[in-house]
Amino acid sequence: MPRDALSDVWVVEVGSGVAPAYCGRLLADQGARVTLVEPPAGSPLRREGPFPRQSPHHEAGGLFLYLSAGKESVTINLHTSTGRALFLRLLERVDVLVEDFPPGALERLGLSPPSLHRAFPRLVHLSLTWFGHTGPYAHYQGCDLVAYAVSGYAYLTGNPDKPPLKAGGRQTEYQAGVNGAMAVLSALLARDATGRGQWLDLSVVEATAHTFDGVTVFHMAQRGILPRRNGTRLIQREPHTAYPSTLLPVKGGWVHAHWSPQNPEGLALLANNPRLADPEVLATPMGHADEIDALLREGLKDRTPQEVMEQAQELRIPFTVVQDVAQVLHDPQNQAMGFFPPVEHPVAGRWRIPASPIHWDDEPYQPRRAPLLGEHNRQVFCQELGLTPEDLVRLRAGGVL
Amino acid sequence: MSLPLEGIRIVDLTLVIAGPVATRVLSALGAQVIKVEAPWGRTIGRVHSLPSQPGASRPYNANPAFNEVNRGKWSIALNLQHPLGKDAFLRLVSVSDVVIENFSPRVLPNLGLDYPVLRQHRPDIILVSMPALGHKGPWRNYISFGPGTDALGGLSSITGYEGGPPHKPGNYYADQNAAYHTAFAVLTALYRRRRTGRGAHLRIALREATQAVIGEYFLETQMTGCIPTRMGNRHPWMAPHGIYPCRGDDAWVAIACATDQHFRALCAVIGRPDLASDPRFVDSLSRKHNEAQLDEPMSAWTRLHTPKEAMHILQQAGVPAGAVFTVPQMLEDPHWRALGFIREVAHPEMGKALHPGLPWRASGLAPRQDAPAPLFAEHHRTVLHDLLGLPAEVVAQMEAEKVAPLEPVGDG
Repeated sequence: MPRDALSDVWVVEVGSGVAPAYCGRLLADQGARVTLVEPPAGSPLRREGPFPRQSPHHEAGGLFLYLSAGKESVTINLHTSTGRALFLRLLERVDVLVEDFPPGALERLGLSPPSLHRAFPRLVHLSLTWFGHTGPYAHYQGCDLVAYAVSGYAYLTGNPDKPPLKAGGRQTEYQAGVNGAMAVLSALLARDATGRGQWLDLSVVEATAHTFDGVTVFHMAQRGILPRRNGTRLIQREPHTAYPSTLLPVKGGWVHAHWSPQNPEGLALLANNPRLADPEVLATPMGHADEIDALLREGLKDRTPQEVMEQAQELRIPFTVVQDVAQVLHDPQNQAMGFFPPVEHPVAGRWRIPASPIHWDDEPYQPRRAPLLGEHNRQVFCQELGLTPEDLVRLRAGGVL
Repeated sequence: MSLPLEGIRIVDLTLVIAGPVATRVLSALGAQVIKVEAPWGRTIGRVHSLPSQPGASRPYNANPAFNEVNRGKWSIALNLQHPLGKDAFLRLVSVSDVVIENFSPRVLPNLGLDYPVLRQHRPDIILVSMPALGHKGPWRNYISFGPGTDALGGLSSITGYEGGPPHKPGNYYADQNAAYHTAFAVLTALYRRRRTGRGAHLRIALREATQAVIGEYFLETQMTGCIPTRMGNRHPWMAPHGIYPCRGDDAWVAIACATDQHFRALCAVIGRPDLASDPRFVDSLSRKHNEAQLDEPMSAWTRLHTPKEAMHILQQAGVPAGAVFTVPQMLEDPHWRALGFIREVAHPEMGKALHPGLPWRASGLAPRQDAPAPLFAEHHRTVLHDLLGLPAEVVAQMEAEKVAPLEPVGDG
């Protein structure tokens, strides 16, 4: 049984990237019925790895298995008029449309946002694009790297003497996904009062810039200080800025070192060096960053990351281990929280799929698997839209499904 | 009714960044967010460590960090350890929809203000907690700020230059990311309550929100048996894919080719059509294998252009490319202006300042984005007297005993 928070919400997701898929996954995890509308050859996400034994299979892609968990799949060829007619019948029934067509593409299919809004006034329609539907770059092509650059975030990440650095993974697209989920819920709540849906035009570059620590970057820029990447230290470089907040090597690994609001003098105990509690150092810690790094490296060099974290936490100093992905998958805290439950899939097999970071006191998370391609054609088209099994055979033969 | 959360009242106990940013979004969507501050002042300044505006008469009101993450909210100060403070707090809970906190997991129970207590005062209350690592398990009492959860959750291990040490993205990425997951969760709980009448205790673990945005890497390590590591600006299969030097100081452009068509267009733009037919680069597998050999011919061209010139020329030729914008460049860029994302907000102590808005445009109800942060205890009387109906003499006693001070107790 899925959660019931959004159990009366039906979402149709049409997309090729991570942004709509993550948005849909967030909604599905809270109980929405999410129907993925795929082209007959399958969503492009199915063709992205990782794959078991590095052997590509459209039912076994790791990205798809993760992002599509708990969704339904139907196939519709939107490049046929019959397919588009079927899609419109589906939109008549649903509450939310999430899509990532580039600007102009929906218009070319005869499904422009204003016409959809007129035809389905209660529909909440979220458009996820790289640059937005407005402005001079609306038609530019994007990807995670390009969005990271244009959002301003790349310039803020990396070492000062090296080129800007992209964050690992596909952070820009995930941000569009989670910000999009907020936009959808706000529009659903508004619809309760107004009876009307909305068209939400959300760009990946804005969602990424939304993750700026706004005060630092805009405030610095306004004061004439260029916010610029500063290694693993904070971007603000005035001497009184809090420190450490950085990554440091210890025995056999790395830790994230962070100053302690509860116990600022505690660093001296942790690293066995009274200089770290010197009032001069504590008053202008960023001004002593190189010295603090050197003292911590020296003081902690014979301890493993795990030992450093445990000893620091006992002193109420928020040091943490830099874990690799395999360590995260197996660490005792994730085991206790149940964040990686095993999920059985009839084709892909049994894999541990990340759960939801949102915990309800009265509705435990129920792991569900990703759908097979077109698995729910009969359920959606016959039971919901009234087509007959013969219709399905005909439509499949005609290249519509 | 003019905003999605019109009529929703949120009691905000959160500190630092992740919590306040979550409630800032909810405020922009129309909720009345009442920040319950500690009597001893605004400690966030120390974390962000930007000095207060020079010359401000009351420096605690001119803290740019506080004022950024608390835009659009109200403020009262209450000592929750004092019986009068606790009583006022519970009265406030009884007329509110949501209480949100990001203390370490022991704090609310120690104050005698855990979920069962709050429910006695408001049966359908939605309580939202934001533990760094979770509400159970061996590390539940560990403390961490956002960047520490990047480290513990795996994001730092896959961020960094090729062959180099682990890194971290931006300043407080994990905090902002957790904030948006939390705001989404609150909206969901409000939606459920409207349907079922039920409140809830929601917990959002910061580290799990970070793990959720790198989910595919956990499949990768299971499926391949390898441990994913750092690849700088490279991509698992796209090539070329990188950030290249431009004309000017510290000037860069990002270029990514996903298809043969992108690559052919790139070769034409940089005046090297020979590379398009070179067997080393003829398809995406060969390009991925020989990608380092493309850095020099591409840089030879990008060095002749500013980042924006390079972006425009490449995009007009059909190649995905993006200038690496600095913040001042974003402020004057026509596209960023057209999006309307960067907002100017006037604050009584700070004057006009620039802030990020919400990242979408809505055809219906527009979000409210432009209200400034409150002054310390600015809404003291409005809340304690007008909203909660506390008698004037009780409010006066709370002021006198610094249970609900009008100025921070101590140095603020």
